[in-house]
Amino acid sequence: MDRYLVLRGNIVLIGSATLGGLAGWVSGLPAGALLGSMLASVAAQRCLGGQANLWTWFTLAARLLIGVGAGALVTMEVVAGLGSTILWALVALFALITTTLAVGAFAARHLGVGLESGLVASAPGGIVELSALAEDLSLSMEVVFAIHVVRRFMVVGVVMVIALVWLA
Amino acid sequence: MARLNVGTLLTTLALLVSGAAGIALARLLRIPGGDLLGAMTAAAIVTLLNPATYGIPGEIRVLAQIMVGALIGSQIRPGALAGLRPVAGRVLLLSLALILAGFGTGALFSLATGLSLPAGLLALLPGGAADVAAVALELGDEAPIVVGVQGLRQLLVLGVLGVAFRVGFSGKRRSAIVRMCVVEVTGASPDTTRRCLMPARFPRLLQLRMPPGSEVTADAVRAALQSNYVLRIHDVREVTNQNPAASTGTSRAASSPPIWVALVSVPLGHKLRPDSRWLPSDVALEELIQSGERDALQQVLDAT
Repeated sequence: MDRYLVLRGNIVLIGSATLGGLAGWVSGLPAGALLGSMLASVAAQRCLGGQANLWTWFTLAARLLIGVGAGALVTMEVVAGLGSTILWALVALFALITTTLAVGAFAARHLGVGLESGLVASAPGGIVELSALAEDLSLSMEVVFAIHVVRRFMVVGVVMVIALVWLA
Repeated sequence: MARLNVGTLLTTLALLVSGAAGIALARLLRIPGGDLLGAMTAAAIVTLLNPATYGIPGEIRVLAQIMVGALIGSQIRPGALAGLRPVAGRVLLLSLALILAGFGTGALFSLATGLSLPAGLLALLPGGAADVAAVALELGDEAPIVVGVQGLRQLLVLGVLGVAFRVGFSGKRRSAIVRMCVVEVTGASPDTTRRCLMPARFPRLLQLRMPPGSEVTADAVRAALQSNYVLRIHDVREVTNQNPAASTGTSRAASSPPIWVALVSVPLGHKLRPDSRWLPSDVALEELIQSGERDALQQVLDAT
């Protein structure tokens, strides 16, 4: 493809994603920056006739930022906070992950996606990282993303209920 | 969350450099798709080794989210989201089931450790770690446990599970017994969408595992396709050497084994490559075979 067209397509796509992401961030929605950026770039891609392909370095930079962001969460305070409950925490997390993956495997067929996409979509957490993983592995990104977004909104709803009912 | 200042910027820079080194190492070790994992592991090591790290500023996290959003959005081609409409209810049900799984394990965790029920539920909620952490601060002494379990969950999902997914999903997992080309349809209805013949470089040429010794019939191929999560099968044909179109081909085509061709609906997750070749929407499979496409199919098979 003409280099000028590639440049133009990517500028439009990244510009739209930036504006959408900032709007989502300012709105205060859960994962608002991600959601806004994604919706804006989908719209931009539609306007461009699906012809825009982001540069490889952009993909790499995104993965670097996401990886570093996730790794930086592992602080000594977090490790120390687990204390004596670590064993039960591991058991509970194992049960949670196993259950959600089983649900994902069961649901994959009903959603019309591959087993891999079902498992990544049902993995408990990391909407940004798992969406990046889905992109990395060429899985059904729209399904993975949709399930994570819906679950994320539900989690926020549950958190609000817990905060309002129990902690008030 | 860390605020943007000179200290956090320097920390971020150090973490980015270590993350880049992690990516380089992951590539050197040929870890399948290890960019994310390499960067994450390196940053975690640096954070744990240096208690004075300020963390990543919220603005940098927003930038990362915007970049990933752009990446995801650019991959979702026009028409792809339309395929989600028929399964919206199922997506909601699945999400609800995942939340209930979190509730169940959270309640058990609360019982086993003596934590309060809100703390147990918050600790095991599958997602929204930042939101959970914000509310968990109201729990006083139990807050570090909630945040810790949430952090551990992320680490397990992204680290252990991420590696397992990468290793498990990167290789070829289906043995090829039936050689076939699949003509995919990018939408729930074949009447309203375009069809795409997978090109030689497209890696998703379907390879079917058939029961040992079984006769390869159209029904058997249909059954095998169903087990590969194809949503709808419109047509399955065997392109034999007796096919008029095939017999007019090269001598290699005349001696080659039969090819199975299927016209299927894959409304979700179909990811078109830039080098995909579009076919007119009104071409039937029989016409496709008759119109000399067999050579093209053979080329796809040969190249795979």
